[in-house]
Amino acid sequence: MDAAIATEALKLRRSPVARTGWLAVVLGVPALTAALTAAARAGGDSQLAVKAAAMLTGTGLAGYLGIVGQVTTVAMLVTTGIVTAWCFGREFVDGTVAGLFAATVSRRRIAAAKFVVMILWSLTACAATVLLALLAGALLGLGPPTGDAWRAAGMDLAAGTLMAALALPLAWVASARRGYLPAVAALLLIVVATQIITALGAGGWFPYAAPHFGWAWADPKQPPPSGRPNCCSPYRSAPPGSGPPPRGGTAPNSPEHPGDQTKRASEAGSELFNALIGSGLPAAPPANRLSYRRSQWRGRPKWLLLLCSAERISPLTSTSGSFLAILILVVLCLVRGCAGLVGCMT
Amino acid sequence: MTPASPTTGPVVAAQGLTLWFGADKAVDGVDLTVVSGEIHALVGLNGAGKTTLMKMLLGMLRPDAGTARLFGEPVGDAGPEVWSQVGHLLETPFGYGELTPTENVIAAARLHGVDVSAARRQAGEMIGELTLGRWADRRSRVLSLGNRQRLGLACALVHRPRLLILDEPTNGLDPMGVLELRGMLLSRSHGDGVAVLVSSHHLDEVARIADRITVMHRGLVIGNLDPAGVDLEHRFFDIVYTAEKEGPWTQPSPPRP
Repeated sequence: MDAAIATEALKLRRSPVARTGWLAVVLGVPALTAALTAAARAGGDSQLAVKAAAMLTGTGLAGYLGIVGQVTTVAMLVTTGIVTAWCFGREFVDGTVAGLFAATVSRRRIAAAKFVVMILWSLTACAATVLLALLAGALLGLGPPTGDAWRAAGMDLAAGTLMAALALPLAWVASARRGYLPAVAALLLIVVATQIITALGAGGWFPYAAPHFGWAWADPKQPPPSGRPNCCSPYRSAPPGSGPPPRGGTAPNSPEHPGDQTKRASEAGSELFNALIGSGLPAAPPANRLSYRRSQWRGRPKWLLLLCSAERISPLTSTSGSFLAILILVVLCLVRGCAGLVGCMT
Repeated sequence: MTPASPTTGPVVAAQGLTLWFGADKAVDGVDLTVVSGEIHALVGLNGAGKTTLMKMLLGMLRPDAGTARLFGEPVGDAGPEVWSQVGHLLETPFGYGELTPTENVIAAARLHGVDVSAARRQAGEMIGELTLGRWADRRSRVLSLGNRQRLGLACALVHRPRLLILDEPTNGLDPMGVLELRGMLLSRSHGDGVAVLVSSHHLDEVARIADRITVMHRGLVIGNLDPAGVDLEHRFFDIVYTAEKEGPWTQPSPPRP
């Protein structure tokens, strides 16, 4: 095996940061989603049950895998970001970067090897997470995987992997700022920016939100997102009754009043939006989407309205468009990341 | 991989090396050579510019003026065939805390172009030579300061370089370690013809075995000491105090070019 890849793989295998991050995703995501699904299926009107029910995009295993997708994308961004930050930044913090100079293996090659092992790390983490989630779904009694469920699992894997790929450019921050803490700070900034931009309605144009859009649109029977998605899912923040009902009709735990549950979750998701855009918005949006949107934007800045309207035509808000755009972005970032690492070391 | 050509000229040849850190001239027009089979010691107080000079020789810093050549190649153009012949230990010893000393030494050998089986064999030899066998299979993060320094030396020496650049290699070493290091450097330079450039902030046991001693102060080469001479400390401080008294240190530094 290539000397740089062998060395980097050994370092990552032994690293407590990488091990803990991998286990946190692989064990944490299925455990969390299984707990959420169990809460939603148990019914009741507790906060947890209502929010968990609102996260369900369908029934059965496919609906459960929808929650897995939502949690996986966030978990992969955060953990891959932290491990990437450590992988590159530690060379500066530990002072080992001096040993990487005056070697026959160039630093560009070492940087490339770090990217290779990080991609393998995130691929295995994502695959193991989805497999374990499928197992947990079977244990919950959601039945054997069908065609829809396999498709949802595939989308979870794709969205999680893309999110991990979007965390890799943090390597450049770690190298340029000579440490892992600046890269972790940048990761926090990305998470906050994603929340704000998505709440403003421009998530479709923001790559860090786009894998989630791609994932949320995975089911062609589901409606497109409304103009005001919350940070988790554009679809579920749609005003109740504004689009066709989710596949399966209603949340499984409360067939009589699915709209009430969605409304309550939507209100919770609107808090950030209200705080940013201003008060006075109707707490519970009316049933008519158009009048709701008009009332929502009356007196608001025009550019914000344009931004939100533009989301509908963003190429990122279609599954294939978002995946393609993200792949292009990641390739560009990797090339820049490699160059940045080498440049700043010298 | 082709080994660097047998040296007819100096292994290290620096001419007029200059580097500014902001308004400070860290290294000021230094000329330096190290030839095969020679131990060349750089001595000077803290901040004299020894480490900065070594960093320029290893390509870690680009000089603002002057040139540096290793095995006749300009440092900026040096490729794998040059770097496979260079071993170095600068500031923090090389070694990842999560790996064992053996794994670290193997990694260092492989990053210097040694193949897997040879790297394993040579790493075993180095671990034995530097008496690290007792800790060979533990995590390197548990090593004491002195043993971490031994590990750094093992990583610098494992690929059998023709040029060694060591910055204060006795840091943290116990008297036995200093004696071992002295023996290793003597056998490699005088026995195998390795060129050694070693720095120290005082005239320690390693500086005393040097064939040449260059004194640096405030980025300048201010004189040489005869290793065979007597009362080296006294002469060292004489040179430094004279330079300090006569030097233009109180004048403001010229702007960075």
